[in-house]
Amino acid sequence: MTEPSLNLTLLDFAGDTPVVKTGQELTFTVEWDYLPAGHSTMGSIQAGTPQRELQSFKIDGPRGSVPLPVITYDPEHGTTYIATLQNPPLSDQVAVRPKPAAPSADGGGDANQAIEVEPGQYDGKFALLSGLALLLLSLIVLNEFWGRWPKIEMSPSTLTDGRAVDTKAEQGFIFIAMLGVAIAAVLLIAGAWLGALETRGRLTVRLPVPSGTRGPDRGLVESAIENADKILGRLTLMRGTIAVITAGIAILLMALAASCQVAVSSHGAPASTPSSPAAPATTSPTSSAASTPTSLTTAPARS
Amino acid sequence: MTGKGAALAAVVIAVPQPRWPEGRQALSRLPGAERDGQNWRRVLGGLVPKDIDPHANHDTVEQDLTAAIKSLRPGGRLVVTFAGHGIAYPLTDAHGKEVIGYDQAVVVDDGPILNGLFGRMWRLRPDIEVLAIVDACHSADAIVRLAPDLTRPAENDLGLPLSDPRPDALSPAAGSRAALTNAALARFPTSTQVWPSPAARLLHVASSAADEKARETPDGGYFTSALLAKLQYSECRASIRTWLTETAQRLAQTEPVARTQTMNVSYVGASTDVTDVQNFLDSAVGFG
Repeated sequence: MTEPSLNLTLLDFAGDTPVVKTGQELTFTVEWDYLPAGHSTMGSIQAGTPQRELQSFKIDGPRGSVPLPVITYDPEHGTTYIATLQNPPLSDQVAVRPKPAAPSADGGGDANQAIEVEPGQYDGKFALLSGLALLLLSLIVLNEFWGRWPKIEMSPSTLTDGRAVDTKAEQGFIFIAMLGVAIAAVLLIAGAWLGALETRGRLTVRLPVPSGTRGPDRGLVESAIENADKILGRLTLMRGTIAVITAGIAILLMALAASCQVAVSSHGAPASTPSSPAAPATTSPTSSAASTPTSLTTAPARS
Repeated sequence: MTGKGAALAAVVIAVPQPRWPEGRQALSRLPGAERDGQNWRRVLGGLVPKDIDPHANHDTVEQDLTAAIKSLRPGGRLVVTFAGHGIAYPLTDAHGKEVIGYDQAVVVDDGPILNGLFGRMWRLRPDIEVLAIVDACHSADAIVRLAPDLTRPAENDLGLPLSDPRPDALSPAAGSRAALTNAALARFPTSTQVWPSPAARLLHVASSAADEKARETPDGGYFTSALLAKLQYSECRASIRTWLTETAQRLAQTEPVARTQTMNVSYVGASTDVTDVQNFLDSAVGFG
């Protein structure tokens, strides 16, 4: 005599332990055979811990099969679906393996999900447009310097305290200072550009916006405010930008220091040579206009 | 109860991105609401033969509700689900200046339904019952519209009433709430209210309180997902009370909405007799 049997089958899945994900539709069929007289007329599919009935199915004879309504996988179902029959006491089960939920890329993930800092996102279009804009700004700045360059050609007319600033060293200082300021300006612009790139790259990485809100609220704004500390934290990681800007500021300071040095040497010199306006004897021959007595007499005198 | 017509009818409304209002204040797109509509349609099977219209508006909602209500036999049940944006809007005094309270509304393609549409619908057939499930922000009582809107003075262009609303239109009576909570053993916030004029018995299940926001993922609203997950159990399908109780419990354990979103249930009928509410809550869901 053949034993009664009950078989539960999960359709459209291969392998011993099908991998399922939340929300996936599962289609089962149940088959039975050789049920004795007086068998139960209803069976059930159960899942979860403790086991709870999801669906019931009708048994209309000692042998048959029935497709079950679609079951949508839910973590509460656990890892096993069991078909049971009370009389005769039969059961069969299908094991499944839940697929770990992948982090959502659209802000719909877990609210506590950490912001991923690396790798950042490179926005080529933004980089190109902002780079061109800042390049244009750099050219404008450099052009301004270039426009003033000839004026740095020291002339004996630059007089203070009755003394002309005409030494090559002082001219060199000012030249270096001007050059330093120009380089610093370009570096600062470059630093700003790098900062913009890094900011955009890092801050466009997923913010932990947990989900959409079904109302005309300020969800995104609120979320951004809530994460302001994290955003500021990201800023501290912009090492490249910080390095460039620091270099720019350092050069700028050095340039200022150099110009101060010139100012001190030209203006702050001891008034020991008030009667020696002839000092500009070393002035470049090309500075003839500046060597005129008129220029000397019209130079502002410090008290 | 027998009679001519269907025992069950359903209207699924899902408006993921209303075209109201336009411009900078446009509402965000809710992919989860679209998914909710598809899931409800799947669960409700042949009760919803048409595809879900993502641009459902006042007119189409009224048409669908009217057709569904008329198709029911006496004692039949209408299931209405809404997924999308909800708003709480101020009720002003007769001068339109001082805000004296708030009311809630759901937003369809051409704006929030404020014109008493639902109130009119529920009064078409006082001999039926309605199970309304709303997954939207500020959704508590959003499609109840207790106030007899036809007697309410005309609203202005913004939908703001121009006269004092009835006090019971703003908040349920505290006494009724306590009585139901004790007697019905419901494990979710529940209130009972009385229709001021003959209307269908209505069980209004909302995803959030009036001052709360409802959240979603692209896979669906947290609330609707919990409802549908629980609906898979035979025990839940056999009793609305069990279904809602387990849904409320699940929602209370689901991050990130555990502390920000509370399921809210209102019963509105000819009386606040607890037996009426019990009978409704203890009836089978009828689908799923």
